[in-house]
Amino acid sequence: MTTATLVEPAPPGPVHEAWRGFAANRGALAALAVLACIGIAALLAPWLAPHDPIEQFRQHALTPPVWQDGGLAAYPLGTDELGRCLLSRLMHGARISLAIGALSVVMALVPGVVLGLLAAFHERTLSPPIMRAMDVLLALPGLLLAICVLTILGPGLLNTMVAIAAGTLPGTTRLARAAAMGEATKEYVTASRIAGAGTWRLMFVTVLPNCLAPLIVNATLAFSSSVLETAALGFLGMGVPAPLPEWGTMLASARDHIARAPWVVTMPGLAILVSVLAINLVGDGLRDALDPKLRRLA
Amino acid sequence: MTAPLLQAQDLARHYAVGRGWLRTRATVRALDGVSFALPRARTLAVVGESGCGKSTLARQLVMVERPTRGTLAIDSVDISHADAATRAAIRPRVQMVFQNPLASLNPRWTVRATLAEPLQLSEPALDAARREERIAAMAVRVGLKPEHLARYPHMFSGGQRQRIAIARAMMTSPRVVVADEPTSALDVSIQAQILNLFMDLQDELGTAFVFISHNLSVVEHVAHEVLVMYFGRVVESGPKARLFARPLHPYTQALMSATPALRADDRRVRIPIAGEPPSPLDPPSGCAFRPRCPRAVARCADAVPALRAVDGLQVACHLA
Amino acid sequence: MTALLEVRNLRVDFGDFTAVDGLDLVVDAGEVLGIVGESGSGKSVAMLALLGLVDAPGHTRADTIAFDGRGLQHMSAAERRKVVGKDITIVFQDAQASLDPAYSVGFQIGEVLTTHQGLHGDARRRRVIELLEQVEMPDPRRRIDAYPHQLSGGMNQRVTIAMALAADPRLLIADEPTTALDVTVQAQIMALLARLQAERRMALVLITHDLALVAQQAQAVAVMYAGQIVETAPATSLFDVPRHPYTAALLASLPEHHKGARRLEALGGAVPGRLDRPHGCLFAPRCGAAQTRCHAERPALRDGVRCFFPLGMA
Repeated sequence: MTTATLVEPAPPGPVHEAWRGFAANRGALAALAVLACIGIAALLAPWLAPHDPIEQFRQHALTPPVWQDGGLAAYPLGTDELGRCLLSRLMHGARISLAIGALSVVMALVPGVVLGLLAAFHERTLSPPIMRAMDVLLALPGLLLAICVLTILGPGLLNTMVAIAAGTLPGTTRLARAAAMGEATKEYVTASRIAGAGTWRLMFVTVLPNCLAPLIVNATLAFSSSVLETAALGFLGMGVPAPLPEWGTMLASARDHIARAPWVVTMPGLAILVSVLAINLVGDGLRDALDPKLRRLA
Repeated sequence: MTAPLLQAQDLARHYAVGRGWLRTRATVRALDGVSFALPRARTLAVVGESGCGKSTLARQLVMVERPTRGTLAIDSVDISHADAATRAAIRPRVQMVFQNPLASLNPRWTVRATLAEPLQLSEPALDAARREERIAAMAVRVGLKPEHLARYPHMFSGGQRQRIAIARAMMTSPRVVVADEPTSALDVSIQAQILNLFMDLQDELGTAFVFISHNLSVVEHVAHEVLVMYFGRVVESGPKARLFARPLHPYTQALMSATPALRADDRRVRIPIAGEPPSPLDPPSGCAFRPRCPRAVARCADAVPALRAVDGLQVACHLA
Repeated sequence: MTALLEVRNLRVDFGDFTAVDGLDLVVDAGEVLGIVGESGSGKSVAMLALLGLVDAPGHTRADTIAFDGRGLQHMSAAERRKVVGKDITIVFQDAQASLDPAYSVGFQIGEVLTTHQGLHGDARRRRVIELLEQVEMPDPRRRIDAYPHQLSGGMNQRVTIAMALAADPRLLIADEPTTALDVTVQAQIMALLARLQAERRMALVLITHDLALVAQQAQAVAVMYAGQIVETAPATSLFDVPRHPYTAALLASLPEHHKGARRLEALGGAVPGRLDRPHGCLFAPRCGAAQTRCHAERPALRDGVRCFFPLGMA
C-alpha cells in the first residue's frame, strides 16, 4: 500500500509551529511578558490601583516617588502637580491607551481587509477608486490627518479611535490587496473556483486565511504606532479630554515641572516607551514566526 | 451510440496583450482551433512543450475561461455559449488535477476541508454526516488513512498530496477529469503509484481523462488517443499505438527522437531541431513549425497546413 | 593513474539527521558519471558537501575528498575558492534562480572570467561572446546584454553552462540540468554537454532522477537511496542486470518497462524521512525480498552493491 503500517505521529499544526517560532525569539518572549503585565494592570486597574486617578490630594502635590527623599509609601510613583497618584493614573492610562490602540486597529483592519480584498478581486472595476481613495488618505501625514478628523468630529474617546484608524486604513488596505493578489494567482484558488466557489467565498474563505500573516504583523505594529499617536494627540491637547489620565495628556500638563519634579514627566514617558517597545518586539517576533521564508526547514 | 462526454470543436482562445502605452494591442493566439471528442472511460493525452497551448486548453475545459471561438460540449450540454447558471450546474462534471500538488492545496485548510469543499458547493443539501461518510470513503479509495484527514498539506509527501488532489477532483463523481502534468513533479516510483491510481479509477468509475503531459513514455502508457500540439494548434492526432509506431509530423518525430530511452533498441535516431518555439507575439507565416523543421520547403511559409487524415492519423503538414 | 575526484566515506549530518552516509565516489578524467536518486536520496546535498558548500547546521565529514590528488576538506576558504568555481564547477536545475536578476548575463559570465582568469574590458567581452557561441546561444552579440528574465529557460541554462565553462574546468557537476526544460531543449543541452565534455576531456557528474537520460549519457552509474549509495556499476550492465532490489524496483516502475500493460509495478511506501529511519537496511521496509537479517543490520557497500542478498547472486 502506501505508507508505513503504524499510525504516524501528527506533525505540529500551524498555530503550534508559529508559537514555537515565536518562542525561539527571547526578546519577543520577554516583550510578550511585559505586555501581558501591562495588560493585566490595565484590566484590573480599578481594583489594583492604590487610589482613584482623578482624586486630588492637594496637600501631597508633587510628592517624589517612594525611593527618593520625601517620598511616601502611599504614592509609590509620586504625585503630579494636582496631587493625583501617578501610579493610579498610569494604570488607568494604560486602559485608555491599550483600548484606543486595540480598537483603532480593529476599526482600520476590518474595513481595510474588506476593501483590500475587493480591490484585489475586482482589479479593473473597484481597485482604481479604492486605491485612489487610500492615496488621498495617505497624502496627509498621520498625525495631521488625525488632527483634521478630530477637528471635524470634536474631541472624545471614540473620535480619537476613528481619527487614528483613518491613518492606518490605507496601509492595511494596500497590504491586504497585495497579499490577496499574490495568493489569487495560485493554483489552489483555481482549484476552489473549479469546485464551484463564487467570488465572495473565494475572497473570505479561500484566500483570506492565507493572507493573515502579514496582516497580523501589520496590526501589531499599527497598535504600537496608535499608542504613540494617542499620546501625541493628548500632548497637543486634542483627543482624550482631561481629566482622563491619558499618558500624553499627562506629559503635556507636566511640562512646566520638568526641572523641579522630573518624575511627573519621566513616569508617563517611560510608560509610553516601554509599551511601544514591547509591542514592537512582539510584532517583530510574530513576523519572524509567521514569515514562511524565514521558517527553518523541517 | 452514446454521445462523447467531451466534445470540442475549433476551440480557440486569444488574449489581447498590451505592448506599451502608445502601441496597439497585439493578439496572442494561445489556442487556435482544437477539436476532439472524448468518450466515456477513455484517456486523451495532450502532448506538447511549453507554449503549445495545452494549459490554455485545460483552462477552457474546466470552464475557468470562456473560449474566444468554437464550441465545447460537456455531457452533450453546450457550455461555451451557456450562461453562468448552466456552467455552474455542469461544473461538478468536469474537475482538474494540477501539476504541483503542494500549490494546488489550500495551505490553511485541513485535508477534510479541502475534500469537503466540492461537495458543499455542488450538493449544499447534503447533511454533514453523509458528507463525512463520502469524504472518508474517497480518502480510503485513493490510499490515504483516516488520521490524515485532520492534517495540513505541508505535512505530507508529494505523492500523498497528489492523492489528496485526486480525491478532491473525484469527490463530485465527475465524468471528465483534466489532469495537467499530474506526475511531472513526482519521483519515478511515486509516479507509478499515481498512474496506477488513475487507471484504477477509470476502470472502476468510467471516468474519462484528458491527460496533459510532456513525458512521452507516460503518455504511451496511459493514453488511448493522443493529440500533439504546437503553437496553439493540433499538428497530429490519432490512436496511441498508431502514433507511436510511425508518427508522420516532423515535430512529433523530433519529439519522440529527443526523448531518452532506457533500452538501446528503443532509441530513435535523433532528429535535431534547433532553436526554440516562436514568440506568440511574432508568429511565423504559414506553418508555425517551419523555422525549426528539418524538412521545410517554400510552400510551408505560404499556408497554414490543415489537419487531414493520412494513413490512420490526422496530420497538419503539407508534406505528409 | 590518480582519479580526478576521489571521495571516501562522505557523511553529512544535520543535527541528528544523516542526509548522506558513507558515500564513496571515484571519477576519472573525461568520464561521465551518472548519480541517480529520487527526492530524499541526498544526491544534491552530497555534491554540495564535497565542494564545501554545506553551511551550518549541516556538518560534513569524510575520510578523503581529493581532487587531482589534493585534499579539499582541509583547505582554507581562499584556497578552496581557487579550485571550486575554476577546476570544479557546478550547474543547477533552475537556471533562472542561479542567475542574479539584477545583472546582465554577459556581466555574470564576465565576473567568472575576471575572478579566475584576470580578464578585463574588451578581451573579456570577446571571450564572453566566444563562450556564448560555444554553448550555442542564438544571436550571442545581442544576448550578451540581456537580463535573465528576458531569456527562456533553455537560454538561461546555456548561460549557466557558459559560466561553468568560463574558467576551463576539469570537472563539471550538473545537478538536474535539464529537468525544468522541454524535452527537445533537453536533447539540445545534453548534446551540448556531451560535445563539450568530449572536446575538453572534461569529467561530468550528472545528477538526475531520469534513468533513461543516464542510460544514454553516462558510462558509470551510482544509485542513491536515503543518503547512501546502494549500487554502482557501468551503465551498460546496471540497466540490464540490476543487482540491488531498489534499482530493480525503480526500473520496473518505469512505464517503458511495461509497454502494453495496464498497471505498472509500483514500488509501495515512500523514502524514509527523518522520523522513520529503520534500524536495519534503509530499503528493507519496501523491499520485496527482505529477510530477518535485513531488518536487523545495515549492509555495507561490497563489490558495488549494498545488499546482503543481491539479485542474481546466491
